[in-house]
Amino acid sequence: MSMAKGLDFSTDKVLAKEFLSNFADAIGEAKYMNILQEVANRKIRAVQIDLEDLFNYKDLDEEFLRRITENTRRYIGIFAEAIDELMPEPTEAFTDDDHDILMTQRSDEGPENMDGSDPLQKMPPEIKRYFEVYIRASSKGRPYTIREVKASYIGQLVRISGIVTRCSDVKPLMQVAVYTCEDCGFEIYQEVTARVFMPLFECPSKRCVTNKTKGNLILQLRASKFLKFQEAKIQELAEHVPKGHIPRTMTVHLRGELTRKVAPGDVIELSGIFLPIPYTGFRAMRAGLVADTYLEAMSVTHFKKKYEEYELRGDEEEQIARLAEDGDIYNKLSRSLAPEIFGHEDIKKALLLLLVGAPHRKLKDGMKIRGDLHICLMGDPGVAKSQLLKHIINVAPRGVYTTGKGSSGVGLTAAVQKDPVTNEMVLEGGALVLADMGICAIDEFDKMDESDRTAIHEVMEQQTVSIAKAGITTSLNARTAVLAAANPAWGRYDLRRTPAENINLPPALLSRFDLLWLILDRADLDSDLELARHVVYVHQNKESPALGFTPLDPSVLRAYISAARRVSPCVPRELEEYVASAYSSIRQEEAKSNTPHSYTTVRTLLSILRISAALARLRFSDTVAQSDVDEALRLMQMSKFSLYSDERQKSGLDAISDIYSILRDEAARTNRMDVSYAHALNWISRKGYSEAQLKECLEEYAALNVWQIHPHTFDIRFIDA
Amino acid sequence: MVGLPYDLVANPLGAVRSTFEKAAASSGFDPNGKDWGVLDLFRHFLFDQGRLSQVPILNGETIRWIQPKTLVRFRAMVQDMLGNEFYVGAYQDGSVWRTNKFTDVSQFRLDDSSPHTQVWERRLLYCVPVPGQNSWTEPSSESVVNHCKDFIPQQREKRRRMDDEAIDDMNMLVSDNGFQVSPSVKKKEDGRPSTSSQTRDSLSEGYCSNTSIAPGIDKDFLSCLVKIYDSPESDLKLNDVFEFIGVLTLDSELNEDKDDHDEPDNGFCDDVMEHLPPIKVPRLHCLIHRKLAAPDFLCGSPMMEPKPHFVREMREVLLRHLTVVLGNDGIAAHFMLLHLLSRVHARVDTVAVGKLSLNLTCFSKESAALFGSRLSLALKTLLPFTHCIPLTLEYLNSVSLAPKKDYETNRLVTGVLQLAEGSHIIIDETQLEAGTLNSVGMENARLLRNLLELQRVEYDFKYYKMEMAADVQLLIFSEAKSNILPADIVMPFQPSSVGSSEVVTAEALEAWRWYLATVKSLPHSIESEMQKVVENDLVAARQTDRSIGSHDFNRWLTMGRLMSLSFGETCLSLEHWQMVKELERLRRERLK
Repeated sequence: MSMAKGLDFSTDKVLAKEFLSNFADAIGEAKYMNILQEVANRKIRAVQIDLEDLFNYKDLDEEFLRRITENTRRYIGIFAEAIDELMPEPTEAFTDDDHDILMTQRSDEGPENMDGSDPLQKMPPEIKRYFEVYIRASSKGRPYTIREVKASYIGQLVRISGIVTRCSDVKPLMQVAVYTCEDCGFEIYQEVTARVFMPLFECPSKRCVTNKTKGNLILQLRASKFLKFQEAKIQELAEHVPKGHIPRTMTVHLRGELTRKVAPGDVIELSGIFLPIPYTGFRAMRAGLVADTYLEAMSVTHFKKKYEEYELRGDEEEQIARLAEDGDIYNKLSRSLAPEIFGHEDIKKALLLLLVGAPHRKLKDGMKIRGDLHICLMGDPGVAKSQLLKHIINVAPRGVYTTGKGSSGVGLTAAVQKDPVTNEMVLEGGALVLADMGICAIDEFDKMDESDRTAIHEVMEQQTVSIAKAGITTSLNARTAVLAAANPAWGRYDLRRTPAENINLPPALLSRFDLLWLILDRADLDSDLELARHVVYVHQNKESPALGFTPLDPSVLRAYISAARRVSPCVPRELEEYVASAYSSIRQEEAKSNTPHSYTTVRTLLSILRISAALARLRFSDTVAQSDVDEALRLMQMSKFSLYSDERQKSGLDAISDIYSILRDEAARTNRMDVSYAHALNWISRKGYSEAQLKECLEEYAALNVWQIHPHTFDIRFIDA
Repeated sequence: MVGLPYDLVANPLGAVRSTFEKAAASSGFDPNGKDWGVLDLFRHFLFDQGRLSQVPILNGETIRWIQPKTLVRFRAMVQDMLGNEFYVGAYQDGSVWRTNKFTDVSQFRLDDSSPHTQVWERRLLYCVPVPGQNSWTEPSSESVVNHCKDFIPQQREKRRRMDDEAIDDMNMLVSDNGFQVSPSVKKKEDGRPSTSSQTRDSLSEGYCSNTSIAPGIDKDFLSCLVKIYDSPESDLKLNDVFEFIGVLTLDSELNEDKDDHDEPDNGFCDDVMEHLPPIKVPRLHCLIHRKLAAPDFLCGSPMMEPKPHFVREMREVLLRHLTVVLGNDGIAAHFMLLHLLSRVHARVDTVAVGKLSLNLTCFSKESAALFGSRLSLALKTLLPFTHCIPLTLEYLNSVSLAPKKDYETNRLVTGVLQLAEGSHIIIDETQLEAGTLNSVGMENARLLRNLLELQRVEYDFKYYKMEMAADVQLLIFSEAKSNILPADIVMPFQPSSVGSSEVVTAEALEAWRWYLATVKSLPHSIESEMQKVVENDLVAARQTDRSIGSHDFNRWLTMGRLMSLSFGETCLSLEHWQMVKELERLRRERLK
């Protein structure tokens, strides 16, 4: 049986040799022979064999691949032997180190030493090797969580993810112990495979044994081969732990080139061999009932957390493709944001666009135009502003939630601080810097420190934080989308005062927000009833009322958004005119009405473009369409309405569009294209509009082909929602 | 069943092995670690045949009598999960398959050359007595003691000697090799000389005198390392209270493993053996486990169906008792009753539905001391798990409320707020004085607040925090409305008499415990007409007072539910809803 096995392995060695010498990567280079050449030249030590390469190898032998994954440790030895035989001559000169000198000495002495088949005197191949072999699991598919690695995986190559919780120092681990005998003078070798070993004390060489001299052996530290060794503990990531359970941990052994790659707190992905710890001595004798296990690391990769580096899993790609085909993706995604918060459709849409963002533009003259959208939510206490903020942060792969007051001295931007130990000045980034390439949600925006408030101007437009303090002048990147929430000036929104008085922020800051929403807690019978119904339903049924749709998982949302963010749409020439005219008409309107509270500037134009671009991204389209611009304009209009709603009721003109939006929202909520006249009248009268205004609205929008009106019953049919 | 080959209580492992060998002998046997029928055997014996009461309950008292390798019951809370353990589950001894399931040491010496060994896994749970468990929940242990005293372990004696010889052999073998491995027997046996012959003597000596079987075990706090087989992971959650029925091993057989720690190069010292030595923490190989709820802790004979008039009567009596305890404050007693019946029965989004924390205000230091101690005493006799937190500045600044992971030992270090479902906490805020909170204090205040508002506790895993759901009744004493601890109900407490505490009979106590435990878990629903009434009331309330929000709506509905439950009814009636509104009105009046 052992013969058969031996044969098996020697054929596998041939297979390994063939693979190493014949494998060609995508550009036709002999990848592994190049690596071996570098090893021969003492440039690198690690020979990393990618199982994916083996999978893509032209003469793929699936049985061979399976054998490697299931008995990886053995195959590392086989590959090492194969490499021994393939190792090319060095093409560059390198300086000999101690090891080489010893090796030359040994090979000089070799012939006279060879007194036969004494295995302990034969030099183990390990001592001659300069390289280390690693077999790396394929990076396809999802890595296991620690919980999923079961007894059946022992001995196999697995890939797992986790967070490093502890790291030991790097210590030398003896790989080959070399002794010299005081009597016969021979070098005796002992290979060490475990963490502890029993040193030899008596010379086992033939000469000593036959002479019965019991030659004293002396361990030669210099001649022995050591390996760097580090032990680490990894723990399951919080999101992989089932509810009501505690994260599991696993011991990881890192050797050679893999040491010093991880530090506590790192989120990593490991491939390695799941092995039992061989017990030694007493414990092994004691029935060996319980086995501790560890992971012999084969490769270490650090996790990325940015949108740009978000890797889609196989099934996600499919799901996104399916979602993208669905025409209603904009509504579907926005409704899935904070589904437990009722209503606020337009705000959620705006928040979705904030997550998606627009591409950054860099002009030829070096000027940068930001693509991040900034949104400010203003409103009475208790209208779920903070909840919205926190939800958005959860969806974003990189998000920082902070309050205007900030908790640390670093605050929002950055600070120069004196290190208490070294007394050196160090630069510490605040929330905005930490959220670089992500989203920074700032609650209590109005209660911000004065120093931060000045700095935030720069962050929001230039997207950098400049520091000139204590001899340090520098500028840090803060390419972040700002999502702010603020309370009105007097705690509650005071309807007797103007919006500008209520909003306690300087216009210079306000103009930097692309969209500004006011959420008021109105004494509205409808919403009160809605709330009461909701609470009663929750108590009765122990769950939230059905939403009329199934919200998408945050992970799906994240995947979709990250896919959307890869698109960078541009505005086609024929649309430029349209945008320009829309912008100028807004300006005209503003000039006509002498309201002091509008801030339509060039920034507004940029905002329109940004929002349209974000909308185009959602459709995975490379060009911005007119519908995108229309929706952008509508959102901006709605954001303005939320601010000046009291005036809108006075002026007859705005009432029409308000009625339209009420009807449209109600139709969307009930998911119907048809609205009966009686219903429509019911809805608008609750909001304080007259029947005459409704009729006016119906006519006006029918003329725009938004809906059709039945000539007799005046029932409404939306042409396209 | 006729003629069981083994006594399942005294020798459960015999049954395990014989059934395994029988199963292994049958054709098509696959040693995959799945149950081969032994669990059904035990289930049949314990439940169908009603022999559960014969199985002794393991606690600090009975551990002195119970013999190792027998069947025991252990009631405890899962405090920590130590991950899984791989063990040689089955191996071939010659041509016969043998198993090591439900045991720590092999029956026979394992032969390395055995061609077939199967590695199976089991999960380790560290279980402790339920925090704050009151003494009335403990069943009397007399029967257990009697049962165990006449159990004479003869066949074990023999095996013990064999094992000792094995140890002696080992010692010799090791020292021959020149390794100075000191057998841990030395450490264990209080520095007695550890030559082999004396080791044996001292061991058998300790064995004969029953009391010293478990010298290292804390009598009042018996924790146990429970090894779980077969059941799915989702069955056992952290902080759940279980009754584990399984094989107890607390013998020192495993202690020799300690020798390994003389190894020069032992990276981390987080080995289970090191921190939970078997001598201090017995091992329990769990065969069957069942989750315990409040009614399981009632030791009296279980009462029949909750009859309406009977429940009504009991409610009246209990209410009167609470009124007396609360110095004749009837309204406070009403709120207290509802509070005691509350539990989180659903979690919807971020809302823990069903919680009803109570903040009794208008306490002075003196009255808090008087009524507080009286109330806490009363609750101790009524509820299974109670706690008292004196909220002083030093306490807040120093105590660790949240459990924390200690990566040095790889253990979850428990905190005050690691509690079993349904625990009751009294927080006495009257003892708080003005001062500064440090960062620990801030964190603790935040934790308490989170517990009150969301019924969640954040466990500190250093690199991230994990939120664990909790279901804890919180009662707060304060001078004025507590701002640190925002309770659902703020109730100014107005006792009219100091009143001497009444004498309560044991029967009455038992009846009240039964009432609280049973009524609490009744289902509840609101008929659609009643829903309309409630909705309209809520809307009307909000129309008149804008400051009323979903928080108040939730409270009213919870109170409505608890009110009808307290009458043993499962449907909200108009009468009870009116009572809730009336109570709220009275409370509001007091707040003015």
